[in-house]
Amino acid sequence: MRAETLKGHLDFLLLAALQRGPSHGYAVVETLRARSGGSFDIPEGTIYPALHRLERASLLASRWSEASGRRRRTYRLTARGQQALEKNQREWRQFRGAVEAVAGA
Amino acid sequence: MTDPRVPVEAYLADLRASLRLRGLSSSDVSDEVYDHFCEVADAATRHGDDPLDACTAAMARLGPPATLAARFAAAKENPMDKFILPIAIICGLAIRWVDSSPGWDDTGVTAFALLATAGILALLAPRRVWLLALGVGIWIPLHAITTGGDWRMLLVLLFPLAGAYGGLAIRKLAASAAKPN
Repeated sequence: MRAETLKGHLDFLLLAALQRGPSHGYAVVETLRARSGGSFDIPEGTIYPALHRLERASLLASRWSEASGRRRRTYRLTARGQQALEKNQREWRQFRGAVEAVAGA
Repeated sequence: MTDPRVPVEAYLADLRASLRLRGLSSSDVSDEVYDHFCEVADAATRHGDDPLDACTAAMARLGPPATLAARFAAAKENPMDKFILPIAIICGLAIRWVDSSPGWDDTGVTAFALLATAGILALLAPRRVWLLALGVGIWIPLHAITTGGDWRMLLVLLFPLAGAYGGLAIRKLAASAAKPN
């Protein structure tokens, strides 16, 4: 899937990728790739800055830990991020329902 | 199998330099990207692929270090960043103007004004605070140097520098205290 198609949905997808629990950046990338069956192959140069932006917006929080002898940053949803995700999911369901109704899919 | 450490280190060094140019703390971002490369190399090894090839592909997906640094800078951008330096210069010129007016001899008030102004501005926009301190504090020593050759007046810069780094420290403390659970 082309990156432009995902434009505007990246924040939603990142929040959703962290819904099942805290993850580090690489795991978030892999989650997106695996759960989309390889369709969402978003460059990491887009994903990491977006994670920082979401943290700045208090939708994510991060903490540092030690893993395999190196520092690792792990992200998790905040309460505000969880609310934003649920709102996005509701809107997406409405949108999908409306498109399917019109397109007859 | 080839060792990807040399190109990865070179990439990270370029990234750190680009981040510093943009006034961003480089170690956290660099450590995060380093962890990413390690994960990529580990996954390649597990799958029997060449870690060097995998890390080279990861570099392409991250983009050139300067571009990646620009994206991180944009992600951390504060709306105040664009206006803060002109505001600092205007405040500094105003303090210099008051300080040089006939009859003004309260050095303590001038010093406090430099310290407090730089501190407040650093609280509002905590990037490149040394530049804010310079914008606020350079005018009094500059006037003293150009008119009387008094280079000792450069010591005046200590007040806005102390204020700016004090403001930055307060902001960091406040941010860590307010971190969401």
